[in-house]
Amino acid sequence: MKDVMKMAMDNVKTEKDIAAAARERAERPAAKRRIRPVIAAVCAAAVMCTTAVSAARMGWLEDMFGVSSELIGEHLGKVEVAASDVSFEKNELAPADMDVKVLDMVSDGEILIINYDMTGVPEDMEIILGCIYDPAERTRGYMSWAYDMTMLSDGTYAASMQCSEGINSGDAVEMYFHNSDYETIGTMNIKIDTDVPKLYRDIEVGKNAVCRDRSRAYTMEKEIYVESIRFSALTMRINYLTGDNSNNFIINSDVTVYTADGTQHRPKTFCLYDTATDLPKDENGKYKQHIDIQLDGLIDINEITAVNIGSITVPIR
Amino acid sequence: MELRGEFDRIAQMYSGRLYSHAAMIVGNKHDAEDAAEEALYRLYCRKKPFNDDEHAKAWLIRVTVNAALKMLRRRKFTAGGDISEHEELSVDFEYPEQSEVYEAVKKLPVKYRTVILLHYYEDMSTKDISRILKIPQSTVTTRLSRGREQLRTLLKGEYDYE
Repeated sequence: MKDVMKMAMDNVKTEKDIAAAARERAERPAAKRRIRPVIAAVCAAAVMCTTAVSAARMGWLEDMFGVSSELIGEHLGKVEVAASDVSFEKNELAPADMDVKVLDMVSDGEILIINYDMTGVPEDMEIILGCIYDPAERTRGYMSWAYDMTMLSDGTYAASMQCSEGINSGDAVEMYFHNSDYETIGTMNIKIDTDVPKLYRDIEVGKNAVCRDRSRAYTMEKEIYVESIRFSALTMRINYLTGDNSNNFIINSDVTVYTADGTQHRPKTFCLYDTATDLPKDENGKYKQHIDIQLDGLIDINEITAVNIGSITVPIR
Repeated sequence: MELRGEFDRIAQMYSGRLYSHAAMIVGNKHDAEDAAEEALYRLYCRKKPFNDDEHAKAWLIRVTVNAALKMLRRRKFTAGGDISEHEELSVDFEYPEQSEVYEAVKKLPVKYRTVILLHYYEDMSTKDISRILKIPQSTVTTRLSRGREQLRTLLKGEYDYE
């Protein structure tokens, strides 16, 4: 039995260069950091939605993005998101003194950014963040979410998460804290109480694009029909049609956003979920898909001049 | 061991194995690639050195298995646990009995499948498996025993199961 199973398992192979993909992911440039003292705002448990941008809020957001930008005030720092049922629970694998507290949360309707403090963790202990975003209502055939974690210069953390359903009141977030062996040591649950205004821009495209998966050892190209793109200050979502329900390839294809000042932005992180089982189809039998992307920097959604997706460049006015 | 310098060597040695592990657990190509990639990504980022290659291998398998199990939970959470036909694994086996055994193991519930995989493919003891899966050794023994029973039924008792 053992020998047969070992021989059988040795036949299970993939063409993808997994090591190269892992290396590429690890070497992706991290968000710029600026050394700057940050006075973090204490989390408001009460519902609050305001256009006033406090200096403290600007502080950690500027620290997160490494820039002092009006975009932070105009978009991301504008809406304070209140939450209820915020709780952190740890298990026996966590350091005895470990604790996690939410300090602040902001959203532009497409992305939720949480500033939190993690204490009681030894400096040399690696913590890996995992996340499940659970929208209160689901309108899409399948949902996806993208998340990222950055350490700020004051020692607190910023976790950003984007969901294909947007960020809405009643949504729940489960944040998992893992050790370096990928074992869960604690869980934070957050329920959103704020109706977040939607600060995004939709662009109709209606073009075919050929996307090439660059992560594989061989050339794999697929044609997609790009229906539309949604931009917010830090995110983009591409809505597209495909002949089959795999969507991994688009992640590793060329996606670049160009802005009027000549800046180019590339995906920093993207949806992690690609096992789409119940995708809706259009009248021609094509699968309706989307991909959520967090960009590598802030963009002014009114200053986007073009976006490149695989073989096409879409001019935007 | 200088990890960055050793990454290519270790990755080349074990990436195929990690993929086949993940594929057996998650049952589809893309998730299996992602789980194996997660393990190699963690390897690249890891700062703490390994004692030797066996230590590295055990660590990589642990991370891969946990990443794969996490994907299964996430799939259950988001999509009801189904696997679309487009993503089913397609494997070319050399001999029919390889296919027969592989398919039989794949049919086991995931909790038995994972234990059977680590025991038969990696020659791991129940103690080592309990460490990886963070479950009591007695639970591993029970799952191994029940997994074997189901395999006996599926394969009509044609193999030596020890």
